[in-house]
This record gives sequence, C-alpha cells and structure tokens, in this order.
Amino acid sequence: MGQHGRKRSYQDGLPVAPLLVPAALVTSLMFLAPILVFFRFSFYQYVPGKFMEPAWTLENYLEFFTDPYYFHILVRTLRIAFWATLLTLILAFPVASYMARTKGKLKSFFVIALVFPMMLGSVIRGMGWIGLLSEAGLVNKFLLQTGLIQQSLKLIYTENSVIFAIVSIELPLMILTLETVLESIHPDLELAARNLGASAARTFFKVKLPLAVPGILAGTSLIFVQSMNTYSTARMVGGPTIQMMATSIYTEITELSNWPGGAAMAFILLAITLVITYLYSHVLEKKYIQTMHLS
Amino acid sequence: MNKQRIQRVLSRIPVVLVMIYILLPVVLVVWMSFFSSKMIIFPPKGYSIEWYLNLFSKRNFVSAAQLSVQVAVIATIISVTIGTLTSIGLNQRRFRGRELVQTSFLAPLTIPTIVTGIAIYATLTTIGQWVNQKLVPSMFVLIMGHVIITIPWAIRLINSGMSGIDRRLEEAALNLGANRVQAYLLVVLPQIKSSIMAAGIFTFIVSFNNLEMSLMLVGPGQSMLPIETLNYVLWNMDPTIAAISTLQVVMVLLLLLIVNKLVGLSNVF
Repeated sequence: MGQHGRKRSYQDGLPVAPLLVPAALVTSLMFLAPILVFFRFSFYQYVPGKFMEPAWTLENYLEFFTDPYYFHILVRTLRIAFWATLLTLILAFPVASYMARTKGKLKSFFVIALVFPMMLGSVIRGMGWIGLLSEAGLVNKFLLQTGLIQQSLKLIYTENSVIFAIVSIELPLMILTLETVLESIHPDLELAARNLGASAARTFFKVKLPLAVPGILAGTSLIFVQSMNTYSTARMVGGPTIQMMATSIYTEITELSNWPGGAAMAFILLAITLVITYLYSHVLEKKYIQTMHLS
Repeated sequence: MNKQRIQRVLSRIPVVLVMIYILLPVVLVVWMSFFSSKMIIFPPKGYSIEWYLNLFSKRNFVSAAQLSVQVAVIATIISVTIGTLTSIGLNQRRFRGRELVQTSFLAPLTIPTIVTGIAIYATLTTIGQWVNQKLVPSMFVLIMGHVIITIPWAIRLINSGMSGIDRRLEEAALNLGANRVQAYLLVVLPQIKSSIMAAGIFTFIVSFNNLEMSLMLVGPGQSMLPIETLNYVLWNMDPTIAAISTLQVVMVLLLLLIVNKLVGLSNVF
C-alpha cells in the first residue's frame, strides 16, 4: 500500500467521541455537576435545623471574612502551606540531585522507597506521627531518657507538628518531580563551571539552580495546593485546636449542619488555590524568562 | 583523594537523613505492632505477635476491610475499563481540544476530595428530595465517588503506556485484513497489557486507602478501613491498630513490587 493508503488508515481510526463518552459522563455527573450545584448552595440562606433554604445572598461569604474565627483558619492554612512548601523544596533538593546521578538497582530502590510511602495513605502515616510526637511518644521518651529535657514537650497538636508531618508526606512527590528535571541537566555543565574556577556554592546557585527552575515551579505549586487541601493530617496531628480549611469545612457541615456556610468556605479555598497557582506560574515564569534573557 | 572521599560521604548524609524523615513514621507503625504491652510504651517491654493473632476477633475492622476491598475492586474495574477506552480515544489522532479534554479528566485531583464528597452528597440529597427517592448514601454512589478519584490515575497510566507503543504493528494488522476492532483487541491491547495491570493496581491502592470520599458517602452503620482506623487512633493508639496498619503496609509494598516488575516504577513517576 502506498503513502496515500497509510495516511488514510490513520485518519480512519475508531470514532473518537464514543470512546470518550464514558469518562465524560462520569466526570460531569459525579464531579462537574455536583461542584456547580454546591457553588449555587453557597448563596443559600443558613437556617439552623434546615438542610437547604433557597436564596441569593452573599451572607455566607461576608460572614467568613468578617468573623475572625474563620479568617484565622484561612490565614493559618496559608501559613502552614507556605512553610510546608518551602521546607519540602529545601529538603527535596539534595535527595533529588543525588538520585539524578544514580542508575540501575540503586535508582529503582530509591523510586520504590519514595512511591511506597506516597501510596500508603495519610491515615497510616499520621498514625506514625502520633507515635512519634504524642506526650508518651518516641521523641519525648528519647529526650527524657537522655536527660535533654526534664518534662515532656508539647509536640503534637501544634502548627509546627502539622507542618513537619505535611513535609514528610509531600517530600516523595517533590523529590520525584525535581529529579526528572535535574536528570536532564548535563553533568558536564557543572564540571565546566568548576573547572573554570567557580566554587561549589557558586556552581550550585549560578548553574544548577537556574536550570532546575521549571521543576521547582511545577513541584512547589503542586505541593502548595496539596498542603492547602490537607485534611486527615490536620485532623490527626493538628487535633481539635489546629483547624485548617478542609477540616473546618467538614466540621461546619457535619457538626453544625451549616451547608451554605461550608459551601462558601469550600469555594473560598478553591478560589484562593486557583488564584495563587495562576499568579505563581505566570508571574514567576515571566520573571524567570526575563532574567534568563538578561544574563 | 582522601579528602574527596570524606566530602562524598558527607554529601550523602542529608540524603540519608531526608529518607529517614520520610520513612520513619511507617517504620514506627510496623515496630509498634510487635510491642507486647497493651499500651504503647517506649522503649517496649518485650515483643509479641499476639495482636496479629487476635485481629480477626475485631469484628468491626473485619467488616470495614471487607467493604473497603469490595468498593476498591469494583471501582478499579470501572476505572480501568473507562481509562482504557479514554486512552484509546485520546490516541486515535490529534484533534482540536485534545489537551483540554485530557486535563478536564484530571480535574478531580485539584479539588480537595472532602469537598467533592460533600458536593456529591449535597447534590444527590437535594435531587433525592425532588424525586422522593433516597440516592445517598448508597453503594452505587459510594463506588462512583471512588471512581471519580481513581479515573485520573487510570487514564494517566494507560495513556502513557499507549503513547509508547509501535503504531506500525496496528497498521500491519489492518493491512493484513483485520478490521479496526480486531486490530485493537488482538494487537494493541496485548501491547498495553502491563500498563493496564499497573493502572489496576494503582487505582486499587488509591481507592483502598481513600478516607475523604468515603467519609461523606458511606452509609450509616457501615465503615471502611481508613475511617475505622482514623476514629480508633483519635482515641487510643495500641499495637492492635498498628498491626492492622502493618498488614496494609505489607500489601501496598507487595503490590508496588509487582508494578515495578510489570512496567518499572521509574517509568511511571
């Protein structure tokens, strides 16, 4: 068959639309439609004791921003997500650069060791953090035994404990994202910089780091969104005192039956996540491209 | 020479420390499951496997695990079937809006699962009130909720396996007289068999470990393993719950080793 025949066989493939229908149907019925309906609910009136009271009101949104209790939860969620993302990035870098230079068995060992905790689910890892940080936990017992402290420290149910747990949970994803980018940087570039007299630190900041920027941007925006959305870690390691957006949306709905209020909070969280990731990728990417041209 | 060696060893210390930081919570859970005392006290007074032997007397955990497996298996079958059809569709030819379609199927990953679960519950409750029918909680909606969070995984994994195959084989089959459907069933599908199996394993794990979707959609009097575990751990932490979790740790590890044999985990991530 000639050139013409080959071209035709590609274009005459199975009809595309029917193949995509099942996925489109499930996504629209179980995801898009409920999210849109839920958005509409955020403008309903909250009447205690009632499930839904149709209305068009901005009360739920106003309440969120004027009540310091709710506003603090948002600020705390942003703060936790910020520190968790920054720490994850810093700690992921050495492992990712090491992995980028490994091959074969050692590399697949690292990949398994990273994917495995990632797939475990946050409940089991949260349990580990309770074992580590609770009053009678491993860290306190160790410090008491070695005489470094006289009294148990309050480690769990603090903002810091939530940050540490999130960082440990998000590190594998960040490492794997960074590793893909670092792997594509030719090792000769670093060698050339060193041979031309640059110090190790200068090589890192002037050669390796700028080339890794795409991976850093992709990784950090992913981790930031996931940290903002943290639920089970906040509940297990943060306890009742450290409420984050996702936990307080759940409380609002299951304990206070405030469906419109919970809906408004969900869309505030969603809107902030979208705005931040948009600004982040656009502003930072532009800036990064500019500096690349200038230098 | 010696100085370089020392430098090399020193440069690995952060790598080891970060890996310990990631894996320590998991190792700790496994360790705690062998403590002999009824309460978890560090350092342990002794070791025992009696918690593993008593597991099956914990009726509520057994039934929660049963429901988890049931939901995960059905959700996996649905997700992988839909994921395979979608990947075939997406790889037929380049068409306008292909990227958009692809990203919209991945959208459920960007919204907190707990919010999606609440939205499904609220929407179906309202519709149920209109039609005078109880739509939630029901087994069907619980499974479909899990399908929504596992479909992105299935599409991603099968799609990446699909883009790596040799299209000329399919063409050869067509030239030799096979029709389109035959060419897919006999030539294309066998080539992506291991990707499909890997996708199946991943979707099973994601569904089995899911907490947030199940929290909203599970029926009264029913429970699933992550929910049961969370509610238990919030009040008491003992070797029994650590043993239950250790079994899941072992299961996930074994499944991942199978995926690694099938497609190589480094090709997936």
